[in-house]
Amino acid sequence: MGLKVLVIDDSAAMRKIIRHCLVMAGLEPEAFFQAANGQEGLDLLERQNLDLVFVDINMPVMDGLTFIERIRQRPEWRGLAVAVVSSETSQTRIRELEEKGILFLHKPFTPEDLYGKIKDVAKGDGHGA
Amino acid sequence: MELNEALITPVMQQIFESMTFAFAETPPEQTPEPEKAVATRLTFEGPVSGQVILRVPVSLLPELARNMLGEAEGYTPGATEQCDVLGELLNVIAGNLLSAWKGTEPVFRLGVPETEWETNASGPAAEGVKATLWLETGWAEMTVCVRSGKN
Repeated sequence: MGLKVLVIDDSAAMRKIIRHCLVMAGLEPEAFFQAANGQEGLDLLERQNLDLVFVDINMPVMDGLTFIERIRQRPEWRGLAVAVVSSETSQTRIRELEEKGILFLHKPFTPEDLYGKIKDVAKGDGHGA
Repeated sequence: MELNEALITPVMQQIFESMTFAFAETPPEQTPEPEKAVATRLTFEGPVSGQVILRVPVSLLPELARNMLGEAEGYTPGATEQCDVLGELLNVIAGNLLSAWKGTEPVFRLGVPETEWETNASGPAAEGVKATLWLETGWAEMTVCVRSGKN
């Protein structure tokens, strides 16, 4: 089963890198959507059924943490698998995210790192609060 | 941990090698001719605040962008794409440097990178702690300027 993936990042380069890593990890998405901030991501979620969202933390307009808060308020999106992609290494932040059922992918990452994080989602076992 | 060149250089080296496949070389015996560079900067806020600046020669940037984006040799990245790549590199270096410097508990907020194509070959006179990474086909210079907090 191919994944329907959304990448939310204000860096077009990072969106491209994540897609490239998915392909390198043998997880070429069935559908790949992109958004440059959390608000664009929410707008896309209204229109598309997705399996997995990768989201950056620091973005203009709406940051990744606000995006996560918003989707967790909507019952239909509560089970959506979300992975934060960040260069941060704050264990405080990582613990807070993991308590909410959010995956954390630290930059820089390899296709193997990415696969390791999302393999359960890719297998259809799902992840999320 | 003290912020100095010995702290910054290994972080730069690890990120450049893993993200752009540009490997560190020993410094050249003679200082190379000055080159026009591209500089990107971002702010950080947390237990210490300030900004970090990453400069690379204009001639090196297309290769870094191609490698980072997984594109083939003949691919020509546009100016926006090159700036985006440099900003992303700085974001990753900054995040990893802050944890190498201040540990893995503090939460830092990183700003959005702003990139500037320098119009002459002298470079900006930014005050701060500097480190230069020498690469096979160029160099990368990092400056960390602390505005508040303890260095």
